[in-house]
Amino acid sequence: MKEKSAPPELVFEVLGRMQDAGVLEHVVLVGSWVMHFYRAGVAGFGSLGPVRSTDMDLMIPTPPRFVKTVSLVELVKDLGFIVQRSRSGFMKLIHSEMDMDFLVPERGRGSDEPYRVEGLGITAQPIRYADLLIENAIRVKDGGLAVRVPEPARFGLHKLIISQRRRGMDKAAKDLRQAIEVLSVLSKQPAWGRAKDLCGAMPKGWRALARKALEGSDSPDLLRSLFAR
Amino acid sequence: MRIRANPVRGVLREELANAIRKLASFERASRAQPRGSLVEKRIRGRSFFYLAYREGGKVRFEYKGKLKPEEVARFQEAKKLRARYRGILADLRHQIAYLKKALHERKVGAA
Repeated sequence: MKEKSAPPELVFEVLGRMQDAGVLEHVVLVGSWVMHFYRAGVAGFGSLGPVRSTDMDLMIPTPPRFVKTVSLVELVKDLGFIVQRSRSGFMKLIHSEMDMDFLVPERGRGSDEPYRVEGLGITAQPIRYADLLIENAIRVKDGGLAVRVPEPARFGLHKLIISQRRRGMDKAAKDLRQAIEVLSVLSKQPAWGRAKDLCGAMPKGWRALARKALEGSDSPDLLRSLFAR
Repeated sequence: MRIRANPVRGVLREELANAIRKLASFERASRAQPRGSLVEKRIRGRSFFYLAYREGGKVRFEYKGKLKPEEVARFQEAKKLRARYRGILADLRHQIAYLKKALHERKVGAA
């Protein structure tokens, strides 16, 4: 079955409005749409496959550093987005063709209460392993946008870890596929040493999850190279 | 014989549940918008407004009188949003119909 995808023009319109409002530089795009920006703006990643996702995930580093306050809901309302709240109080903006999810790094176990981001007028969901993902985020330019995305090595390692924590088999498989795709490209570049250093510096439990993910895949070369002593 | 869960069906079911949830949210959002369109009438150089809407198959005109520009803008914005939501609701209904069709189970024992 072909996976659905949000129309790129809608994704770009939303990000463009955030850029014009001066808030895009204070968030990090995470999730599958990152692959689009790697392909478009990071050397060596032109061979990545097209993005297939109806979700756009935005991570807000905490504490948020917005210079001005913008209502994200108002910013995209005329495009047809409306607010949907989960029972736990998390908020997302939904549309027939895409959803926007808002995330923040979890600060300690159990701090999973909705996090109010005044600068955007939203509540975000705390998630684990987020610091690994957003530290040293890079800025990628494409189509008039300058979008902050995770370093490819961090993105790949993070996807390996969360592929082992997913409840849904299909999402886990998608995470693993994307991790392998990004890490395979990276393994042919000088930056691979950085990926190995990052992997080596991860907590033991995280390394075990990443290793387990690769052991269950058909990428023995990546497994050997990443976990070589 | 034990039937193994089909992961594709799982994805489709999840998508269907999501589309149904979205449809309910957009129906609520659409109902929350003020109904009708503003009709402007100029009498001796002054603008007066009526709110035109359908009720029981008839078009009704509700007198609104003079309105401030921001009130006029609010009605115009609501009209645009209702049109946007109509398109989105149509998309969602289409998605739901497609997913239901894709999930339709073959009858056991059918040739």
